[in-house]
Amino acid sequence: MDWELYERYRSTVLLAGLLFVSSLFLAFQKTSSVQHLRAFLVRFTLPPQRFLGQLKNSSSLSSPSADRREPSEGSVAESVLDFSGHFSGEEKRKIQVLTDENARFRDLFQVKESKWPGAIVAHVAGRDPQRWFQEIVLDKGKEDGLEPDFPVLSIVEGREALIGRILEVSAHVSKVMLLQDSLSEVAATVPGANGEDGVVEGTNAHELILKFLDRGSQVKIGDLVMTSGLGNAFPPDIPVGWVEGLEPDPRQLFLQAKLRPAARSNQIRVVLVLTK
Amino acid sequence: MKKAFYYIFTVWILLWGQVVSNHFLGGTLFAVQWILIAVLHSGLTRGPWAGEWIGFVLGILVDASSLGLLGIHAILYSLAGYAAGMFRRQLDASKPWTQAIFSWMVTMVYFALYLVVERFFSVNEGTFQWAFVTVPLMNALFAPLVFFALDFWAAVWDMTPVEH
Repeated sequence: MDWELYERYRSTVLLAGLLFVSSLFLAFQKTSSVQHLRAFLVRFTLPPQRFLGQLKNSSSLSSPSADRREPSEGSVAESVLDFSGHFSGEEKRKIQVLTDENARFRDLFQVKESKWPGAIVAHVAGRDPQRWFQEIVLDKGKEDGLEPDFPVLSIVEGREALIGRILEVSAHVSKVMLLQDSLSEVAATVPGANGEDGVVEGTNAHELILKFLDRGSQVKIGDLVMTSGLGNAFPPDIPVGWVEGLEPDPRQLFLQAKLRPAARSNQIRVVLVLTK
Repeated sequence: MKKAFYYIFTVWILLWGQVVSNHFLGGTLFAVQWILIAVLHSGLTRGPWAGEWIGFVLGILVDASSLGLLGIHAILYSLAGYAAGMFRRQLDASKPWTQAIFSWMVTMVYFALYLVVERFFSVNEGTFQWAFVTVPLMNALFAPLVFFALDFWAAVWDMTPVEH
């Protein structure tokens, strides 16, 4: 009788079981057993993300090598056609992609060597569409030397830009809380305007907000906002964003500035993690 | 054995498809939740048992890949698979309009539940995004395509479900 009952309602019983197990995972996120399970599962899900992250590189690197083949007699006509337009345009595009990629890496390693030789280079391995502006996942973890709260930088046009800090680490991957997360707060200053200090907060959207500026502030649109180093969470003088607008805060006590982030979160591929 | 390979390949392809889709469309208003639609397809064509299992496995893999809350997608996709399975007698899953409207409704419920569950288990407060309005529409738009592709895939493997 019990078995018949189970057969009849087995889907509901299974649902209850699956919900119970999932709730346990949710409730015990931080325990080592759940972390180990996560690390195990990540091994199955990271390959496609890594592949896509490096898709541009691999496609642009593999194609020229294929194109470097010795031309056969029959392909002379093709090579003439290549010079006539289509293929040379494609080659130009590949060269441009390679040039951009090289420039990006050169900038990254120059900044790393000159300022933070101990920094760790990591690739963006993935991101959650529902937390697009809040988090990114890196392909380095605890075993690579990453710890929670390490600052994370991106390199934009040869200069570093703060993008967030490490939130969680597992053995081989880590999660970064981006500046755009509404829970993110960074002590910041506007160097050109008598060194006015404030706090940069995220909005869960692309832009940032610099809060607690004096109402008589000299800050103006176009000013660069940098980390102040107060609180020791982030090193000083790292660009955070540019002022795009000023308005009184909702309580009319301070001014607050809308910032355009120094690094666009959609274009981050490789990052520098500063070790302490 | 064949059945196991079919399910493993299906899960793997869906995961890849979602990752590729997220790479190009994630964070935009035009993101499509291929996995959620596939879970609904499983429930509607194979019943709640298969829908729940596929939802749970895909959900836990999605959670792991995003390093978000481990279990949140597992809960929501399991529920979606179960709901689809329970409605399979009332709905004609072969009709594109049924697929689209059901996908739209389930995605709306999914987002509402996502915000609720996240509020319970995360320090981050989920906030309203316009994607919560547009993504269900995108899911509805692409649901017939996904249903057709999955039916075709099942036929290739000779795994088309048979009602007893």
